[in-house]
Amino acid sequence: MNRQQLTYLRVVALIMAGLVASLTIGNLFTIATKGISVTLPSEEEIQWSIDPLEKEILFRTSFSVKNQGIYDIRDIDISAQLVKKDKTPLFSYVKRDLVVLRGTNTTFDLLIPIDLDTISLFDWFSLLYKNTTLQLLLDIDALYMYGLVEFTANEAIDIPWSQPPLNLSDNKTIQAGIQGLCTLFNITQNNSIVSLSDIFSLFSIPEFSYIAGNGFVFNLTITPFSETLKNITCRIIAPLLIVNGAFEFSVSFLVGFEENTPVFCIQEVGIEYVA
Amino acid sequence: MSHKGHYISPKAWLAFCLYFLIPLGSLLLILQEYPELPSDKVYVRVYWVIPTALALVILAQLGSYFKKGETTRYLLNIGFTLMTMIWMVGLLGGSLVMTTLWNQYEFSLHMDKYVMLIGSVAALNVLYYTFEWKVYHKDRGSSHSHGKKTGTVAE
Repeated sequence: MNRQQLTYLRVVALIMAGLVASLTIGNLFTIATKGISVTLPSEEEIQWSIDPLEKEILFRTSFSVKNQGIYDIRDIDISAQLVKKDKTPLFSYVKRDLVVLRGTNTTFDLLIPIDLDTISLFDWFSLLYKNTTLQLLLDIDALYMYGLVEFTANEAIDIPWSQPPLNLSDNKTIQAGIQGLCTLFNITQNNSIVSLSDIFSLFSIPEFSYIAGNGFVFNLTITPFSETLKNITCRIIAPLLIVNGAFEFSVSFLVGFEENTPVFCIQEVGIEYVA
Repeated sequence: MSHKGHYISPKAWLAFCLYFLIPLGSLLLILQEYPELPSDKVYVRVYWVIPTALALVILAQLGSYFKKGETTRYLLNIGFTLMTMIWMVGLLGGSLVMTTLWNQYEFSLHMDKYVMLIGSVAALNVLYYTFEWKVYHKDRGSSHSHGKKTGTVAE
């Protein structure tokens, strides 16, 4: 290598070093002067509503990105997962390739529809009739500075979930019945072994029928299946306030004893929206 | 070794500005602007930047006392490049992932590609310094022997 070639190499090395230095300083200054900030939604900023016509639960939230830096923020991927207390996923949502151009403040509205058909019946039922705490697991990835810096945020946000206003009845018996059904479903969901006392308490449920003036129906029909087994059928019709329609839910199960062992098995479960 | 009196080389000035003044100022600004950030992590970076940046300035200044082709200058240049990498690692918090908290949420900046770019530039510099040392060392050797030869003839 001669001196001329060495000079060329020096120029290339200097240009590269200058480039890296300007990237570093630009980046450091951007952060130091609060040029880039991300605001994730707080618990209060996550709203939901139920759309019975589309059989959807809509989650609404937003997050904003302020980019006063000198590079665009590209390839923003958002992945959201709503999970129950026991980490069972209710739904997943992915949005890809969002961009926040330099010198802009962008708010991304996330309208996340949860198709009730994709949620298991037990989850659906517990969403409708139980107060619980859901968790929104939020993963955000983005690329900055021509893809040289990758930004990731992983957050778990607690969402207090209160049942929608479907329990139109003030009747304590109905409320106790619904509560009993919730307990029942919890037993089946958790796959726990049904205890003798569970069977006795279910065995002693009385047959009753309740029809409210607003169309709310709660029926509990008990028919003997065998000498030691009972077939319990529960039918609930919950009219909706906002639209002219109702959810009809029915379940039948066998309760009792067979060869000295407690028996609990669901025979049939159905849920439908009746316009 | 050349002695040009008490002067500070442009490389040392540049190193002082790029590796000491600007980063330190930025870090102190970050401390002031982001009270929500864990200050101990920023202080660790400050404590790292001060000695490594000063070492870089000293290495740059010492390098200017030697001529191109001298092995000491070459070694000082290589030391400068390696120290730059150490400085960078310290500024990044000792890892390729910078984790920080904004508004109670945890964010991570993955700098692996960025560090790879810095590493490749450092490698390019090492390559340049090696070639510089080789070329100038050879030239110095030949001019040295040429001078000796001429001296013998003159005698």
